[in-house]
Amino acid sequence: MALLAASSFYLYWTYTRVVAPPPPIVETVAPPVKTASFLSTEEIRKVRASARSPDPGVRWTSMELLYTLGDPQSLPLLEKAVAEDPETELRLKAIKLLSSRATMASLQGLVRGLGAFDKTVRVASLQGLVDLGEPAAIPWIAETAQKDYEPEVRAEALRALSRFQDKRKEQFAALAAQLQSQYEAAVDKLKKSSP
Amino acid sequence: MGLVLVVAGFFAIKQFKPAPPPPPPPPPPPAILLEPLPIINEAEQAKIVKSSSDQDPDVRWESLVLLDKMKSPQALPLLFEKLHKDPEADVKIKIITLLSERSSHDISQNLVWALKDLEPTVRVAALQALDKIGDFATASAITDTLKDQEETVRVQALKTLNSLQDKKAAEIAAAQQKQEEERRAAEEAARKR
Repeated sequence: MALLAASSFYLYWTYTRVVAPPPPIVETVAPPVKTASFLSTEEIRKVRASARSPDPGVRWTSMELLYTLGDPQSLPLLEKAVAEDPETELRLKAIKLLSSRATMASLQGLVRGLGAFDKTVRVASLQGLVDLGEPAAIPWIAETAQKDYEPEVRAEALRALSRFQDKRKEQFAALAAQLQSQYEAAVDKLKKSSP
Repeated sequence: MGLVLVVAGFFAIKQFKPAPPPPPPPPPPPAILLEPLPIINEAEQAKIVKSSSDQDPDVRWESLVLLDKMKSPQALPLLFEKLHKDPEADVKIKIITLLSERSSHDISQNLVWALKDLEPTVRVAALQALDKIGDFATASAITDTLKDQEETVRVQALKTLNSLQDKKAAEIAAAQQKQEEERRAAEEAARKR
């Protein structure tokens, strides 16, 4: 009798219990690997000094090397090059390098380029800010669109603002699609789990 | 024995008890019909509106494009104004191309106005835009351009009229087919009854 009661109770418990869903699988991402610089501190100091060389080729090569090594002085040097270097070609190269990495220091350097005397540098800075994609640059671009004395630069600034608006629209559409699919998945799950 | 009967009775009741109704599904979320906010505030937008009167045609055009992308309430009125008054034909043609992507009564009316522009290239662009929009109400205005002094405009007017005619015929054929299908479905339903 006891055995019968126990088995009946077990059947009842198995039939009516609610099984909790398994915990979600958390994907772990391996931390980024930092490569160590192959140059000593003294050598890096010499490379930094080369960034002030009268030869533009030497200046550019040293700045590029410091940037590749991740030297903390590289971004301020590039920023200064954008604003003050006498060679336009070097300034344009510095702008291109700065716009490849989205940091506040890059943003600062590119914004400084908006005040350059040479209009090609100002246009390149605008294009660099769009490539960087940092919305914090918008007020400066809007100001350039109003106040720059070159119509080519004003038109480029307006084009840059248009591209920021397009990016915002794309992000908004992606978010809306994501919310919609999450909602539909939740509704499906609710339908399947209900008796 | 009593316990067995109790347990069996319990399971029997559970088996034959009517299932509770399923919970109602949650209401669907409101459709995300909102547009993203403009990237600049209203004060800055007012400055962009001023740029639409810039001396440089590229600056004027880019400011109109930006206002249109930001869905500014001043975008469409400004586009119409520049279509009428801008000194550059290229800007007018670009505005016509932009307007041809959408359709409304106001847009059709302004494109019809552009059929009287002094520049033949603008008139041709307006005819092409009216073809794309496919508003049959503009047919009489298009017919008037068959008297245009420029041959390119007359040729485009004929092309536009032909295209509108084809579209109208396709519309009528589609409506007739739909009517026929509905009639057959109604007959089928009546036969089954």
